[in-house]
Amino acid sequence: MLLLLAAAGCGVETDDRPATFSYIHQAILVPSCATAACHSTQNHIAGVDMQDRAAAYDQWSIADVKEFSPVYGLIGGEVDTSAVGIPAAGRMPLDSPLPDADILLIGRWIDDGARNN
Amino acid sequence: MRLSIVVGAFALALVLAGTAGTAVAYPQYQMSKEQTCAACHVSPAGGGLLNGYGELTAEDESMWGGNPAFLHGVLELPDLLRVGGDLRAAAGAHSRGDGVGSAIFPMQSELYAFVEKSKLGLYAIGGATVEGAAGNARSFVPFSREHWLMWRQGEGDGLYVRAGRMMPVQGLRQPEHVFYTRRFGGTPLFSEVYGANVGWLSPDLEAHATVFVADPLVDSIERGDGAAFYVEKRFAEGTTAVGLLDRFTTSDTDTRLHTGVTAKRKLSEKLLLSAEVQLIRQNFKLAAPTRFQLAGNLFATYFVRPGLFVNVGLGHYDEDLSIAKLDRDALDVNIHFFAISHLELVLMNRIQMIAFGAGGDSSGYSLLQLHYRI
Repeated sequence: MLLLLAAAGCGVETDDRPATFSYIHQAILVPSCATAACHSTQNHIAGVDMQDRAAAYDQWSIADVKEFSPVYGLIGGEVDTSAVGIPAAGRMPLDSPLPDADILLIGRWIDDGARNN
Repeated sequence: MRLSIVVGAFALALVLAGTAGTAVAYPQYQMSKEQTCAACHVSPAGGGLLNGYGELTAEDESMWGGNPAFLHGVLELPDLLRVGGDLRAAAGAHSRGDGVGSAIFPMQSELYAFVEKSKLGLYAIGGATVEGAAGNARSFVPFSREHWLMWRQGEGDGLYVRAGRMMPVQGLRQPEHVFYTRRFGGTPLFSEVYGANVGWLSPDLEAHATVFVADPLVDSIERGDGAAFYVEKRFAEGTTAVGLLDRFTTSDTDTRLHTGVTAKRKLSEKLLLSAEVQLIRQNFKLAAPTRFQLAGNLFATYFVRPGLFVNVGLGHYDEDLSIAKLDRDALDVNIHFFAISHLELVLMNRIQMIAFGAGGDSSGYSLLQLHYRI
């Protein structure tokens, strides 16, 4: 058990995960955001459903997607941080905020046009 | 007349329900008090409704005791019927590097009922779940997290078989769903499924097997079909336990395989160590690399005196072992105070670090939880 834990956090710096919405939805949004009492289909707090793919994409592709980029602005990237609106609730998820690498991956997808790919 | 009062109480609770949360079970008691969860709970998985011995334990393990029965014993129920419930609310503050926020919110409002005749029982949880809308608008919708039919050889031991809506049995089954082995380990809050479960319970061995399908009616957190297995062997007069878990799910989007181990060691009458670690393999049904994840929790529980224990936990979660800085670590310090047999106060504190040691952000919260067992 200790060996397994010791092996953790030793991945490579290069993030070659696909910056596509399909991957981001399955690998980041569903496990991190679509929890009970938060943004699951069943509960969709604040009207935000991150579990259903179509509903999640709708949320991320509203007029100015950068305004719904909850945390991207906090760490920069190519987005003009002054134009990024951070939700009043702050960095998400409340109980387990996303790592910067996940936020950067979402940022890469946004910078690439936030396509439904 | 008595039955109508019970039905009325159920209806009232449904109307008043806040938001269904998690059933309560403290695996810390498993080794310090009894060897199986079912010694105190009706469910063979533990959690939720207490049986008669569980109520006596609730009285024994609280500071000032009091009648532990349903509604403090003012209502006498027929022998074949057992009723209970949990009300829970919390207030707290959190910090995530962008300021400090605070909140007061309901956590759980649920009633439990179990009717058993000739070893055949029907169990149901009635409560409500919250539905959100744009802005802060919310409404409460009646919701039954679990309902199942069970045959069991004996109360708390022997063979059991059950079918219905339930949480697949695996691992330590900690009540706090923010712990990584629950949140990312296959059993997050509201991930109940429809399934069939068979198992064996005895003081030195328990084994559970569950096959399941995602709820076809409610958009559950778990959208995969699959199976879960858990076996736990206890040694050294019940002071040491080792468990193995496996869980497989397949859905429209991915397949996941969880393989894990649990361990418990009672070091003294007052100190218990427990741990769970899972290695998770996730294959996506799109053009993306397979990823391996790791989720682990280590707990030290110190029983200060009857009615008071402190649980210190270390957690680790790595979202993708092949990529750096996707790991999270957490330190939890939870203090549980059982004032009377029906009332518990929990002070929960968490510090969480992203990419610990590599300059990642940290966050934390403190939460005071009030729990009243009906």
